[in-house]
Amino acid sequence: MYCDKVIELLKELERSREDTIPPYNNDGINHVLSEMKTLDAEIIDLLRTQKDNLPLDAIRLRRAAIERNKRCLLTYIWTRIQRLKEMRWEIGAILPSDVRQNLSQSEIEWFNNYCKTLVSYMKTIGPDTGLNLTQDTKPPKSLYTEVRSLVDAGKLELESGEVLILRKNSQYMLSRSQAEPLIRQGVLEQVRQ
Amino acid sequence: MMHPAEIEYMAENEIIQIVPTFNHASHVHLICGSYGPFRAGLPLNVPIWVALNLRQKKTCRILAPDWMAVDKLQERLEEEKASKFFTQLPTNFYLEITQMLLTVASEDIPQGNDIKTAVKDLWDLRIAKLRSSVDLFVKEGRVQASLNHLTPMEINSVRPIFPDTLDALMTLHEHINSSDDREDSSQSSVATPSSSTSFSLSL
Amino acid sequence: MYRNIKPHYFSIDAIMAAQEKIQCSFIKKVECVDFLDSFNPEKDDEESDPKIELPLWMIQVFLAGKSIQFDMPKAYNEIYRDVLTADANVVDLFKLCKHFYLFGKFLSQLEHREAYEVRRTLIQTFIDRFKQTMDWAQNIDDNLPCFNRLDCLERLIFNDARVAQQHLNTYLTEGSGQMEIAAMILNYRKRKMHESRVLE
Repeated sequence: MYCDKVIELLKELERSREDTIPPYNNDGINHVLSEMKTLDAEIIDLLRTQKDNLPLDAIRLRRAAIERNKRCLLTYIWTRIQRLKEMRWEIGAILPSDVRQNLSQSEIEWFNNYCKTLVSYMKTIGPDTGLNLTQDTKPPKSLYTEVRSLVDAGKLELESGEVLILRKNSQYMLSRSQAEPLIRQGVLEQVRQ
Repeated sequence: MMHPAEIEYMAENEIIQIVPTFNHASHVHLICGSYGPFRAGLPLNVPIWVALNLRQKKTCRILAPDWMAVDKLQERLEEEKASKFFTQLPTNFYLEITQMLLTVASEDIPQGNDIKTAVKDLWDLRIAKLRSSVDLFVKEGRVQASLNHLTPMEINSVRPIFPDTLDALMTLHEHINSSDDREDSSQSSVATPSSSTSFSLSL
Repeated sequence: MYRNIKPHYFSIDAIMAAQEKIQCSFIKKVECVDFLDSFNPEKDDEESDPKIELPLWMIQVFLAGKSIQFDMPKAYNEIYRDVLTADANVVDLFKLCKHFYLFGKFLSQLEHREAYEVRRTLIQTFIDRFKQTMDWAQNIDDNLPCFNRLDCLERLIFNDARVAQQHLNTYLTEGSGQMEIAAMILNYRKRKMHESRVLE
């Protein structure tokens, strides 16, 4: 029946967890696009061959199917973009590799552009260096915080210019702004007070 | 929806009394006002966040606010039980202030555990009241409610459910567009009386 | 993340609700649609008209051309309406129909003699179940069995209420100021660990 394929695409999205992005289903999308083209051709054919006694129901049904296919395809793309946008705010500009390899070329381009736009907007806030909106999403309690490294993360250049070597299970005192992104990425953990 | 940490941040601006252990003759000028002078042993008013910072550096003792005493809280609790409506509390941030002071300065506050229990009882009682009034509001299909004297944290506890629920109800009441023509949607949202549902909180 | 409980153009729930099947029969012959050929009405006997199940969005098309009549799906017929009126709280709504409210809402907007009754039942059912949904969301421990009985609209409300309740509980037990690993990364790691365990 019409639109079955596109519903399969949306079910794929529904089944996946909201914090992941399943592989971009190129074949599925092409299949739906060609279904739309066929429907369109059929409508034109009906209009031409049955001019005297137009089968209105048949034409309406095909038109509705085209519209529905379009809505579902757009929803498929829109939902994925919403998730991608959320990831930018949650984990930053560097996506986990298995998310990245599930994206289409246009999605990767979109993501890069989104990151650029966001950064250039944040630069314009305030008088000088701008404001990182992804930081301190909850009110900070102190300027510095004690953290423990969960992995051998290697070199970290501090805001003072000093270089710190992060070793697994060692504790450090870091500025909150420097610690927060690393905590969110799971490299460090905050030592509970 | 606000995160509890954000409401706590608002609570940190409330004024509280401390007894400093140091001297600082001039005022300290802050965005929220000027505070001082600090004289060892003499109580003065400062915002809670200042108090907590000084207390963590062990340069002051915090004086618990008047209401933060077991007998006072018990009175409040009885009053709340007796009243059909929400009673007015001495502060809009009773839960957060108790939480912050008892975490940082438990030694300064006598009967800390009993205070914690009494505050929790008060909170539970008021939240139960709030939830049943929300339920009543929805059941009776009311369009307006006045919930005086609720605190921000209490309001926040129903904030995520309430607008969603009213939206869902409105969806069921009014005509909505199920077809795939986006152009239709502007014509199809015929307003029904229920779609003008408004909810006002007078605080 | 964009959240809107009301159905909108990009809402998967609304799309899926319009995909739910309805049993119907044709009162007029529909030409030039292959998969309907064997379901066209027989002239003399209306009772014996072959029935077919079509998704709601197709029913809408044929209703516009007055070519079709449909039966109210089971979940919305008189028997179930009575059950819901008696005590909506005991019904496993998800099992009855995943998109109970949205599909019902769409149905009630179609031309059918029971449409008004359906609409009334939807509103009353939602109101009757509201307190239960709210209470379940507040008691966080092991509420999966409860969650499973909610329709997809109730689930949205439930999930929001539960996230807020979790924030509050964490605040009350651990205080604020703690920075946490992003939930996405945490889940990602859990999945990786699970995958590698399965591979071993």
